[in-house]
Amino acid sequence: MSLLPPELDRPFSSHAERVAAREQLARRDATLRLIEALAAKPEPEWSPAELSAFPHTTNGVEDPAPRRTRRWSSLFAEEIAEVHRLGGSRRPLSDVELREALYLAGRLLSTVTDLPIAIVDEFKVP
Amino acid sequence: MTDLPEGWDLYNPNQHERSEQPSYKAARDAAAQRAERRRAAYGEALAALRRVRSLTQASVAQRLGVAQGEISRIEHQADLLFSTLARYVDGMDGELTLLVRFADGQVVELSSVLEDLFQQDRPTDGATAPDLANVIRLSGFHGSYRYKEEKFRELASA
Repeated sequence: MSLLPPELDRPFSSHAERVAAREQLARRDATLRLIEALAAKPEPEWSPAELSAFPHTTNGVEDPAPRRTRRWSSLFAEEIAEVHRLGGSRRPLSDVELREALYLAGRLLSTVTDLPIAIVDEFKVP
Repeated sequence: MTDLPEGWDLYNPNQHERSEQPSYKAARDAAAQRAERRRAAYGEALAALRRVRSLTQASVAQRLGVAQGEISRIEHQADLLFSTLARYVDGMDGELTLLVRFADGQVVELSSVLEDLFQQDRPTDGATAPDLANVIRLSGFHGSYRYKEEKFRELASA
C-alpha cells in the first residue's frame, strides 16, 4: 500500500495550472505562518475571534486553541519548516515537489483546523 | 559480525577463503548457514504470499507468460533481483513497495522516489526536474504523518 495519496506524481497539464498551484502553495504557507505566530502568543493575548477560529475539542476532549496550536507547531515543526522552505524557494519547483509540498501544507492545515483537506483554503486566520 | 574472526576487515580472498584455519572456516560456515536460512525464508514468504492470494504457481506463471518452472525457480532462488521480485508480485496483481525506516522514525517510500527518477526522462510541459533530496524528504514526511497525527490527537487528552 502506497503511503502517498494518488496523483501526486501526475504532471500539471499546463503552465497556468502550475502557476496556480505555486500561488496556492504560497497562500497555504502564509496561513501556516499566521497560525505559528498565533501559537507563539501567550493565551491572554488571543482575541475571541482567534480563539473561536479553531476547534475547541479533540477526540471529545477539551482542547483550547492556544494549547492546540502550540502542540501542532511543536509536533509538526519539521513539516512546517519544509513547507516554508519550498514555499519560499526562488528555484522553480518540479511538478512532483510542488504537488507534494502543496499536499503536505494542506494536511498541516487540515490537522490544526480539523477541516477536510479539500476545503482548508477556506480557513482564514482572523 | 560477532562470528567473524579477528582481522576480517583485512580480508584477503586468497588467504581467507581457502584457509583451513578453524576460526576462518567457522566464520565461512556460519555465513553460509545464514545465507541459506535467508534464502529459505524469502522463498517461503513468497510462496505463502501467493497462497494467501489463492494463486498457484501455474496461475502466476500464466499471468507473466512464463513456464511454471520459472515461478518455482524464483521461490527457490538464492538471491532475488529487485526487478525479479517486482515482476513476481506483478504476476499476483500486486505492486511492490519499498519502505526504508530510519532509527529516527523517518519513513521513506523508496518506490515513489524510484518512480520520480523514471519520470525525469519523461518530457513535460516546461516542468523542471525534481530535486530528489526534496522528494525523499517530502516522501518521508508523508510516511510519518499519520503516526504524528495520531500523536497529536492522543496528546490532547494527556
